[in-house]
Amino acid sequence: MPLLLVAASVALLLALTACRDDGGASREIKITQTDQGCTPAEITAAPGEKLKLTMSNDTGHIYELEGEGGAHFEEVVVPEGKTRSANFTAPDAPGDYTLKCYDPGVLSTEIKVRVAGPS
Amino acid sequence: MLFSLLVTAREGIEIALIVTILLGYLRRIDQKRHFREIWYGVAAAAALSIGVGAGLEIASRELNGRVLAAFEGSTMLFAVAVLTWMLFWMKRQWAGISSELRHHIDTALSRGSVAALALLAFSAVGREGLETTLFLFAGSTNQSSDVAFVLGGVLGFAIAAGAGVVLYYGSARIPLRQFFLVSAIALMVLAAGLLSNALAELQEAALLRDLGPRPWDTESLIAMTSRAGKFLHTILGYDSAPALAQIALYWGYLVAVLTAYLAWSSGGPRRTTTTQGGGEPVPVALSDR
Repeated sequence: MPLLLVAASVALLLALTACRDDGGASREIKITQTDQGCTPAEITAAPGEKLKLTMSNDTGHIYELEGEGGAHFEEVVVPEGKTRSANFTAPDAPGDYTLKCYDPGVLSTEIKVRVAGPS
Repeated sequence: MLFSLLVTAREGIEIALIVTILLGYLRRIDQKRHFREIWYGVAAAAALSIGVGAGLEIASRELNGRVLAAFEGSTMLFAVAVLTWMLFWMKRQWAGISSELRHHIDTALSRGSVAALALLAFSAVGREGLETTLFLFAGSTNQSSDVAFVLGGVLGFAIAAGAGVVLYYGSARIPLRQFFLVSAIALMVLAAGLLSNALAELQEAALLRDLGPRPWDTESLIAMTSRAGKFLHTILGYDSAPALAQIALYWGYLVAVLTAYLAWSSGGPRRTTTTQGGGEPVPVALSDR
C-alpha cells in the first residue's frame, strides 16, 4: 500500500509538472462557425508558422475543427455559443492543406490552409 | 497515466490474488509440479486480453469521424457498466473465491485432468484481463500522451506483480480490504468521468443531439486543449463547459453508486467476510496459510 501511494503520488506529480504549456506569441486566426459553415474559406501561413486558432461557434450545436492529411491539428470540440482556442503549427512543406469543420450530422466545410513562402 | 495506473494496479492485484490462491494451494497439497499448467493458463489469458485489446485498437483506427465517436462512446458506456457490475460482484464474491478456486483444483486433480487446471487459471485470470483491456481502451481515447498512458499501465502491473510475490511468500501483510475499498472508490470516479465523456462522444457522433444548457465555462481557467485539461478530462471527465445532462449523469452516477457500494458493508468491516461467499469467515481469502 505505501508503495502504491508513492507510485500514485509520483504519477500525479509527473502529470502536473507536465501541465505547463508554452505560451509563445503567435499570429491569431479567427474561425467562425455559423449555420452556413465555417469561415474564412482560406488562410495563408508561412512554412512551420505557429498560429493560434480562435474558434467561435454561433450555431445552436457543437462543432469540431480538425486537421486532415498533412495538417496536424488535433480535434477541438467547440460547444454551442462558446469560443475555444488552440495552437496550430503550419506544415513545413509548402502546399495546400485542409482543416475540416464538422457539425455532427449536419454539414462539414473545409478551410484551405495555403502554406507558401520561404521556410 | 493515473488512469491506466489505477486500472492495472487494481485489476493486476485481483489477478495476483487469484494466481496466489491457485499456486499457494498447489504448494500446500504438494502438487508444485502443476505450477506449469497454471502459468500456461495465465499466459493464454494474457494473450487473449492483448489480442482483444489489439483488435479494439485496430478497429478504432479503421474508423473515423462519426463512426469512431459512436464506437468510442458506446465502448465507454459498456466499460462503465462492466466496471460497476464488477465492483459490486467483487465485494459480494471475493470472500468465497479462495475456497471456490481450491474446490475447482481438487476437482481437476481428482479427475486427473491437468488441462482443467490450465483452463481454470485461464478463465479466472482471463476475465480480469478482459476487464483490464476494456477499461484501458475506454480510457485511452482521450489521453494526453500515449507514452505516459503505457507507462502508467506498466507501473500498475508492476505494483500488482510485486504484491503477488509478497502474497505468495507471505512475508508481509498487505491491507487488501483497504486497497479494494480505496481503489473501488477511485474506479467509480473514473467511471463517472467516462460516462460524461461518453455523452460528449455520442453527441459528436450525432447520436445525441441536445444535452441541455451549459451552465458554466471554465475554459479560461483550464483549457480543454491544455495538458492539465486533458489530464483532468481523462481522470475526472473534466469538460470546461459541460452540458446539464453530463453534469446530472456524472453526479447522479457517483452519488448513487457510492452510496450503494458503501451501504453494502454498512454492518462494519467484518460483515462482508462473514455473511457472504459461502459462509467462510475469512478476510479476503488469504487466511488459509
